[in-house]
Amino acid sequence: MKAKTFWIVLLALTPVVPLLGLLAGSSGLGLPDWHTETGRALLALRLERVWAGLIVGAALAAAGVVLQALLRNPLAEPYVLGVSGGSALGAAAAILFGAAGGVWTVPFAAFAAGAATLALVVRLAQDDQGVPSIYGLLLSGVIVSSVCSGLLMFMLSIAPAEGIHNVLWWMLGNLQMPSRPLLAACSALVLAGLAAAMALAPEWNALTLGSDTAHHLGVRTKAAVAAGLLLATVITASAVATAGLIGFVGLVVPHVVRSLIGPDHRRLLPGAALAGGLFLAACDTLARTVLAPREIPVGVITALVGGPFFLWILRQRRKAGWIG
Amino acid sequence: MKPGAISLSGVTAGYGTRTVLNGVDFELEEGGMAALLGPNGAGKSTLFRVITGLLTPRAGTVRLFGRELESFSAAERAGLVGVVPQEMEVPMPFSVEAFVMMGRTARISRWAGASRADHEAVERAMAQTDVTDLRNRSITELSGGERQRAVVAMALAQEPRLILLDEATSHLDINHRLDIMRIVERLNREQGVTVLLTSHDLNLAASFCPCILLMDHGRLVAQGSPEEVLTEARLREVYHCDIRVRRDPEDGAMAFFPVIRK
Repeated sequence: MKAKTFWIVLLALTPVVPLLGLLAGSSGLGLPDWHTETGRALLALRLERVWAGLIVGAALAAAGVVLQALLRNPLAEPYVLGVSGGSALGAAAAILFGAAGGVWTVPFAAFAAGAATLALVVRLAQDDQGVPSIYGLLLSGVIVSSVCSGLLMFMLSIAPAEGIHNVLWWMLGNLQMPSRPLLAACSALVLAGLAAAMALAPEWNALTLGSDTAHHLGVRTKAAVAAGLLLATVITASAVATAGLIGFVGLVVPHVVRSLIGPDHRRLLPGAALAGGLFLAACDTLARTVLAPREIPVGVITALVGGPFFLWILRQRRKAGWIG
Repeated sequence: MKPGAISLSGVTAGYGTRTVLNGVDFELEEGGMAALLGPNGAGKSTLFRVITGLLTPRAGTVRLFGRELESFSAAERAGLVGVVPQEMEVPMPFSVEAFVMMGRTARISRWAGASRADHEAVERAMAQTDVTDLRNRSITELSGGERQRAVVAMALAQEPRLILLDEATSHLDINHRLDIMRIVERLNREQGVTVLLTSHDLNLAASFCPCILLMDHGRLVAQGSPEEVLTEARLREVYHCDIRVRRDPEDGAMAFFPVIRK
């Protein structure tokens, strides 16, 4: 498949996937009746969910692209630096102990804890000149994540059963937005982060060659790496704060899109963001309809449906990818 | 007097508490081609890191073309100095052309993309290094020699006035070593690009470089023509082994033979 085919398919899917999302729901197939109050409410609800899927999917895929470039590691994904562990801990604490707060309590706790975790990971990975090393980041990310998950397990072990259920659902990921302003705030942060990440695409390209070579090519590497870590964190934490921990998208979508259109970040970033958004919106449509009226956590669908599909593409495109 | 391409005075540098360079002074004139030799740990790589601005010296000054290194912006420096490392790990499958285009990172417009001047510089760089035919191949599937030529092409696309080669030929076979050295020599002769290279290959350095810089224990111990610097006595002192210096009977080139059995 040529890069051109990829873009044609992607752009053709761009109206189709959201439309399917509007037509399908746990309350049955077909467009809700526009003339009734319930119909309009239902439509608004579905519209919100489709938008949330596009934004969260784009966020995770773009953060994955940036971190894979910065860390030069094919296993890097949005959660690799401990943002997920930290956010989960913050969200769990808010769910279990912060019952008094409004709809913003859990997202805010998740965002703040995720960002704080990344700051800690970077601090631990810094060498004597204040520059975080790649292996330092990966290693301290894994260690801090384990500590966070230990604390989370402890909290769950002493929590009441209902609280555990709520935490579990949050961790599985869910695109049902508790409030519209929250979705708007998340969208604004993610879109701003995406724009900034795309503006820095030449820097990501150079940094895939290592920070010394990027320096020789005229990149201000310290500033670029700091900007990349900050952007990836803001994007990821916003997505996690609104939708919980949706796995798989941030790891696999960047790989697949790279194998199809190549590693130039000026094209890879928008391509992966769009593909990730469409993928998650489509998965969410499935999650709502397969066992309707029951909903399946969307993270289950991303892994079960996306897994085999993406593995098949990656096998076809071994040489063009990163795992050839 | 014309300012030198590189001038260092009293440069002391190191990592943490360890001092690697101990008051290094030297001057390389513009248009020169010099080899920086010395045993492992002598400080060659550290000196390169200082010249490229990767490592800030603790004392002393570094000037490039008469201007203090610190006064250059990152983009200005990239337009002046190209670096070819020993082996560049390229994890992602960039095409050769896209890879060479990365040499234009500091010049290319962030929004408009590559200009005509960018494309011309890339074409020239690929032609000079004979990688034009490989332009659509993935950099990850090239042989070692082809890949190193592409790396040189990337440095040339920066259109630098100074090229630093950090043991850039040490992992290549004899023929590909000569390839790289001939490319660099032609640039030096035809375009006046200043060249400084480090190497452990005394034969290659003496045949291609009219100027030899010899380092030991973080100091510069000699600078001059190969005949002046690479004497048996001095080589024994620096490398701690006996090396015979002879002449090739055919063309008179200097040749170095380590004494393996006494």
